[in-house]
Amino acid sequence: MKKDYLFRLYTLGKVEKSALAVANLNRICEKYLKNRYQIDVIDLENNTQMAEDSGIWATPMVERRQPAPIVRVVGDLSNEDTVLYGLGIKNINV
Amino acid sequence: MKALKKESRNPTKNGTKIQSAVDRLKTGIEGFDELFGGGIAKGRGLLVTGTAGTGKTVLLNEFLYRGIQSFTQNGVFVTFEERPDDIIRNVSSFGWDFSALIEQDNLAIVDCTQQSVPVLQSGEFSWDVLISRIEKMIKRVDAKRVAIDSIGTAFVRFSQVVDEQKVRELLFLLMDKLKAMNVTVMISGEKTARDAALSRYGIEEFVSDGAVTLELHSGQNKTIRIMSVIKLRGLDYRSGKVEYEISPSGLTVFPKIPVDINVAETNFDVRLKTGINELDQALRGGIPQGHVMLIAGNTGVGKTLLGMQFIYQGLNDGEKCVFVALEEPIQQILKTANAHGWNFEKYQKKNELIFIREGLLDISTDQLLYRIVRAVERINANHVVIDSVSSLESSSMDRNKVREFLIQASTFFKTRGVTCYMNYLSGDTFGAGVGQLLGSLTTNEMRLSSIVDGIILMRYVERDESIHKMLNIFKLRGSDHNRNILHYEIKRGGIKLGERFKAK
Repeated sequence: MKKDYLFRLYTLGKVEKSALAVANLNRICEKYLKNRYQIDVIDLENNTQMAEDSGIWATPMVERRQPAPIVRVVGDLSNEDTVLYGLGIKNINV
Repeated sequence: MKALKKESRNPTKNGTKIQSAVDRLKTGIEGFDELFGGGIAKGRGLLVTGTAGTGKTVLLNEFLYRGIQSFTQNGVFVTFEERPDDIIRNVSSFGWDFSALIEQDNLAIVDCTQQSVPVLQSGEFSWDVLISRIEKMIKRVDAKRVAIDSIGTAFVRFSQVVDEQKVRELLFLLMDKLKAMNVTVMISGEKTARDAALSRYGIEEFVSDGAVTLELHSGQNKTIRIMSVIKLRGLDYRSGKVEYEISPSGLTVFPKIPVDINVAETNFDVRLKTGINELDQALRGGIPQGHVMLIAGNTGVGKTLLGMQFIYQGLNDGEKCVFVALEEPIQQILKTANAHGWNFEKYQKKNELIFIREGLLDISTDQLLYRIVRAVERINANHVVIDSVSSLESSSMDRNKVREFLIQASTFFKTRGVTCYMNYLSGDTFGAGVGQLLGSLTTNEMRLSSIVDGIILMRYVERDESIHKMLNIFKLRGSDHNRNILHYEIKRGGIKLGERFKAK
């Protein structure tokens, strides 16, 4: 089934920050976008070319691929407001 | 004579010899390594600062290009500034084919321009991915050189998203990583014209072991580019400002010749013939080898001719010569020479004579000196004529620079045992009367007197309702000489010295 929101979460290795970002993103999406989202977690450690091609300069970083345009939020996503604003989630749901 | 010259040409003539644990890396950029006394610090970071348009990016690009071309040292370009496509396009105007080098895995560009994707920060993050991208590129091409362009744009790009402290962290981490990988780094940093401080972001001095500053100054007719080394941890370097230019083939630096206090002494036993027998006699055998002679006189008095005669004599004796023609075109000199029966072209073809011709608008004394030094070294010249120093003075409009040039040139000549004529146009009065010859010695000549070893004055004197030419050896350091005022005439075959000029 096609989802409204497609997120890609870039991480680098199994570190605390990565786990925290995954958890935070899941929680926020469950709360605001239930059943309307998909998250792909990509570990760049084994994917050098992807890091180069995507131009990712820090991790963790979440990228909204759908709907266009592409927007990004960098960090462990611990600040919910910034995530909602940065990924354009809240504006739509207000 | 030959043996003596060899001795004075010993390369370790610099009095100060600095022992250092730091190895040097030759960049291959013309003149740049000399500025650093042989190369930049290997495995370390060199900061390149300057305002916009000074050529920082060109320097960085050439650093990588020369590494690949001249030393088979591969490179990685980390750009926060221009997109890779733009970099490739820009350097192609220098004839550097970066696409091909990237294709052959000699070069890689890491694009940190982070495109135009909007980003916000929420919580903690790490720079590891960027550091590891750069690290992997370095490993992939086995890079020995890394260029980072630039500190300022890294801040501009990232500080919109994250705070400046975090950007500082990135640069520290990056430089630490690069140091651990033992690559030599050139990193550029912006400078606002007014801001004299090296550090704009409070980081520049910490990420680098050395710093070089590029500046632009407007000359009368063109822009003058100045480069100076600010610091170089653990290595000796040349202080002071030097000129550089950006030509279609890249950057050229014109390093100053170090003033050497341990100058080879003049050998008074070896005399160089002037090409005029009577003048040789008056000089007690000729010009002492290694002497710098000032030939002073008004226009048309025969200074250039005296220089040409000196050169022609040298060439006939099998010596190598350099003629610096600032007054007239080389063709004109050759024509005059032919009229006197001197075939200079023959020696030019054999590479025994080099003419240096420089346009006089905004002439750069650093560049000129560099060209003279290169020419003298190339053919091992020991006769040099500079025609003339006064034209240098009037065109560069900077007497101190000319004085500095003369000191450096004469020091260089002395260390190699080169004998030199420096012609000087002195504006004395046309009708100087009897006994006034010395009175017409201008302050300029006096000012230059300490630099030169000898002065020959050439003067017009009005007498018996006609103009006579008179010559006097005014000074000849360390040697006896004829102190009389002597008649001379210019004929086919050059200057003919006559008898003593007698006051009525």
